Amino acid sequence: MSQADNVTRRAVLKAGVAGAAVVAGAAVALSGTARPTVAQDRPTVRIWSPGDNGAVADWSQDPILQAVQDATGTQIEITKIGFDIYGDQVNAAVASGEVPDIIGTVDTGNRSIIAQYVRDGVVTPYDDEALAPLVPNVLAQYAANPTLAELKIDDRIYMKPVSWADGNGPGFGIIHVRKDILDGLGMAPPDTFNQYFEFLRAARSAGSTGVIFGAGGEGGLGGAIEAFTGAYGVPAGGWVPSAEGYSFWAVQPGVRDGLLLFRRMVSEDLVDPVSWELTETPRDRYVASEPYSMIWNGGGHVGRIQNDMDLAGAGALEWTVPALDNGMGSRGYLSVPSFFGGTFLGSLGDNNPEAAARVVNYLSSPEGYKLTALGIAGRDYTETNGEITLIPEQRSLDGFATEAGDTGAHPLGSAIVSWVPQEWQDFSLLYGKPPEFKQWYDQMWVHQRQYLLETRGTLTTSPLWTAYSATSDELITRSFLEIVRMGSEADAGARFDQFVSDWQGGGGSDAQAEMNEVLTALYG
Amino acid sequence: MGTSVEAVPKDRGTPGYRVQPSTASRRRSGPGSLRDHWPLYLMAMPGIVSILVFGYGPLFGLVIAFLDYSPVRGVRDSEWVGLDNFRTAFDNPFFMSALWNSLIISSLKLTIGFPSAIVLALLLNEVRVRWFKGVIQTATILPFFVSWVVVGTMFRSLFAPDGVINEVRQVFLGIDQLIFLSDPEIFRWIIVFQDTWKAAGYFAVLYLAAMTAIDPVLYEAAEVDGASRWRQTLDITLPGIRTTMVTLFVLLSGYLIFAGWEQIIVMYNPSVYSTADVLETFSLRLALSQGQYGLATAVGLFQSVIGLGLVLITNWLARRYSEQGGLF
Amino acid sequence: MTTTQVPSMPRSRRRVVTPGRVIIYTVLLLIFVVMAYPFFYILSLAVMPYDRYVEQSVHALPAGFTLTYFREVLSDARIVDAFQISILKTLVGTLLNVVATTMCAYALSRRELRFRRLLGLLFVIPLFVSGGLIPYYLVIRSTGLLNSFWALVLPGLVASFYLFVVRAHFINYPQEVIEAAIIDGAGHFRIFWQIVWPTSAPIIATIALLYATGHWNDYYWPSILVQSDLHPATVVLQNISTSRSVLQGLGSGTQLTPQSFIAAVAAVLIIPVLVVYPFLQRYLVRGILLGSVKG
Repeated sequence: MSQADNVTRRAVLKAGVAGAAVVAGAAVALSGTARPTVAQDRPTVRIWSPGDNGAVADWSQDPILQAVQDATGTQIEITKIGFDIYGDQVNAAVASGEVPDIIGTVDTGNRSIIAQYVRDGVVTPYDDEALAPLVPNVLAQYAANPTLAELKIDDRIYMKPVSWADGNGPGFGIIHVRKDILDGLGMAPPDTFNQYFEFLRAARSAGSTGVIFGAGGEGGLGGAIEAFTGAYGVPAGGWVPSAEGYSFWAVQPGVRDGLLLFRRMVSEDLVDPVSWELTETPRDRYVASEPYSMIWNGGGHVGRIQNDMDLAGAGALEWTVPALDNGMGSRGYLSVPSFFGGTFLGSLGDNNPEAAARVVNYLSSPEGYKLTALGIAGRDYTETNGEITLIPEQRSLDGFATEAGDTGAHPLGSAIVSWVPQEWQDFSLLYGKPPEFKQWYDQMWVHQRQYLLETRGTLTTSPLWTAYSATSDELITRSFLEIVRMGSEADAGARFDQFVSDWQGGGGSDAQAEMNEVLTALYG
Repeated sequence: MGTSVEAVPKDRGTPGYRVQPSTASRRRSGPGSLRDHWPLYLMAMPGIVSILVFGYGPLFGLVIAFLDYSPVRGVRDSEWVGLDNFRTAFDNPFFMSALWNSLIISSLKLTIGFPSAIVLALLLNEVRVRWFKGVIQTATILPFFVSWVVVGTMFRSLFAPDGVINEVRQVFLGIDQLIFLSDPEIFRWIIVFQDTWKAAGYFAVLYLAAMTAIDPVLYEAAEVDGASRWRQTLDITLPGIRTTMVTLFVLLSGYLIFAGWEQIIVMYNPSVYSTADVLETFSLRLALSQGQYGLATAVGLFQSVIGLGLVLITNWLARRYSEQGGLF
Repeated sequence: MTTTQVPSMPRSRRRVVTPGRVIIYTVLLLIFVVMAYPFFYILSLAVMPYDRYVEQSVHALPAGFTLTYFREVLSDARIVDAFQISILKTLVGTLLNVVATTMCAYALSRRELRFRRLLGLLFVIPLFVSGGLIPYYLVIRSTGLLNSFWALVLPGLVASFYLFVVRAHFINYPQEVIEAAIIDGAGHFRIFWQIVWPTSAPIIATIALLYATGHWNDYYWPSILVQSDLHPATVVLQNISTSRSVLQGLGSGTQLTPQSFIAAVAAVLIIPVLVVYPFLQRYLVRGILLGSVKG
């Protein structure tokens, strides 16, 4: 579809202003037939995934894509769609009754939509009798991480988690500070929230604008409070086991304490006010200008934030702090499976699940990972005695990101089966760096994984929860934003109690009872 | 009708049918035959297709409000659920808040924006210096022709915590930053102000046009009677533009339930959902991020019905209580 | 209703400086500042050199001049692409709008057209009842336009308001001219293109301008009807303006403030309007008055 549109668009562009109308008419007539020709005997696999084409100028000329096609005996058409509208676009495609063969990185949190896909036969399970033999790598991933069993629907595997690592890792609300500024103030990296606030205060009086996060976006405040609720023993996601069974994280008493702690930070004016208006955390702002701290993604971003700082050339140093102590020896970041989103196989009209399954499986094989992370052996890199040497010129010609220290992933692999496996992210982030950097890098990784709070049921759902989760999300978003900005602690506390009763009364209690059964069946 | 329609073999080149006119309709300027005038039908075709698809298509789509609509199954195979979607919508805690917000925002826009445009027109009408008037008018109309996105960007950079208004407040006045755009109370007023800013010049043009239509003799007579400028404005100018005022007021009142979602969607963020989330933004979120098309359509249908009702009511009121009468 | 020119010079009076007049001029001057300042501010920010930006704590007034940010904007492939789309959308879209609208209006104005009352009514009803956003979205989707350039130009091909305005113009068109041409054996297409169209330039220019500003400013539907490679500049501006995230695409060593960069993108969207506006204001004002026919 979009290949064809690109063709028409280019045609229109070329025709210029004068002939625009004529071309317009002609192109309307032709747009249906302008598809690129398909190699005769190979099945076509159409792929959608979020992100952009990166350094790939023309997919039809891309050697990495060519290599994947040859390895899987397919003809691949890739469409990259901006993150901000990807979800809408996928829904729109589903609604139009024509979906790509591989739908990369659908938000797995959006269970009501995914349930609709399954109910309406839009997607097909990987462990389907015919497909299972084709996707051993997908099935192996499920075998390796028991938590992923939660992703199953009707006990079938519909999603290939778009992962960077096996097992669990920290969630979204990792606290980063600027080490260079700490040093300038003669302070040590904070270990408790009190020390952290003290640092922010000192930085603030030195002209900083405070800690920054994207409160307006998805995972915004919900993500930013992870370390704060964690300090009161509540993982900011999923269902928490208690005496009466599993109950929803957001209504735990510990969340109230975590929110009040966050409110303290807000009321002391330690938050960059821009945060409230932002839809996503602007890394570059943290990097290039005033803010002295940021709450943002952990995962593989440690080295990348530093990389951005290096690009800005401001001599900034990033420091990832372990989950901060609330002063009473309690702390924790949320522990979640290391993936974001699931990749689906389309199964409507002209989809070809078998061919698509072959592609997914190949891309998630060690060989496929290496291909999309490094390139073609002998062309993009050489390997002698396990020592890998990259050939930057060729890699940049072949569509790999070339900015120094970027993960260097090829846009083909990222967001379909993986954001580049951690192994190769480490490789490219550390490639050519001095040993001190490696030391720092390892330390940051230890920090963000040091205190992880396990949770249950972040991935699974029940019919009532499916129906209620969107309302629940919105209740949380709205209420928590109000709570942390309340004028007084008493008001904030009262607002939280109000939230809890809204949540329970709105349908949360019933959904919780139902989820309890689901989780008890899974975990006992 | 005096005509008979018969199928024509396709190779005739005329599209579809040919109409055999009776002799009576062969008058020169009366309706003519398809054979003679097929180009006319051809010329009308793109417009007709467009209005059928984009104007009427959505009306048929309204049936979705009564379905548990699944896009894959389509309208025909989706389950009929009667008024369930409406019940669900009314039960949704965010629906009522969106309804109120729609009404509050548009009422504020009406009470502030509507008189602003009249005042602007009255002021402009007093200006005799031609270039001055031209410059002011140019500046006041210009915003209307700029995209909401650009307006949003401008206002965001003015009102941002690190924007120029806060800079001035801090540096010159020594007052703390105000977080305008994520403060639920202030946000509402910014939306109203922004809307007035963008539209006042546009409406002023309409009033000014009405003012030119006022008979100059009236003013001359008033001047002879020694009436002041202010009196002339009250007694001649305002009554002179009353029709335009009533017309616009009726139209704008009909839009009371439509708060201008394109403006809001550009400006809002979750921090201000409590005062800024209106029915459209609410239903778009339901439809696009949650796939609840049936529910979202029900919200839209509810809004359309109220909107139509409001137009009819205000029109009736205008007819009942104003000498000018209503619109229709 | 009225199609009068904008009032420029109403009733004549003697020029006397009275306190009342001073107040009126002062208030208008204030209004002018409020109206124009946001434009002025965004433009001054877009050309403010980085070092001048950094050394000041208040950026209310212009300081220095640089085209760095414009250069950055115009060397960002994503943004240049988006402006290309905006331009194409405006040109192709407006052309199709104008051609379809005027042709349809002409046909509807001719008495030879059967059912022309009915057809006129066809265009009236949607002015009063609408299906709302979701059905509209579903309709565009079901037409298969989604994710194609045509989703940006075809919906709303003929706007009823403008259609009626143009039809009214054609009804008032000197019929003798057309009748004479018919007697000479000219077909409707020839009459329309060679006689009616060239002599209706003002009305055509007016609706063309209105359609064009609509296309140029369009934001919401393009943001959801097409994928990012077809996004016009408005959508890209909104994205970078709400996330304030620009560094990533810019590469190493750039000293940029997101503020100025965003301002430059906005400026590129405003400047064409600012440039053509004074010359076309006459038509735009006429357009406003025509739009008010809707009652």
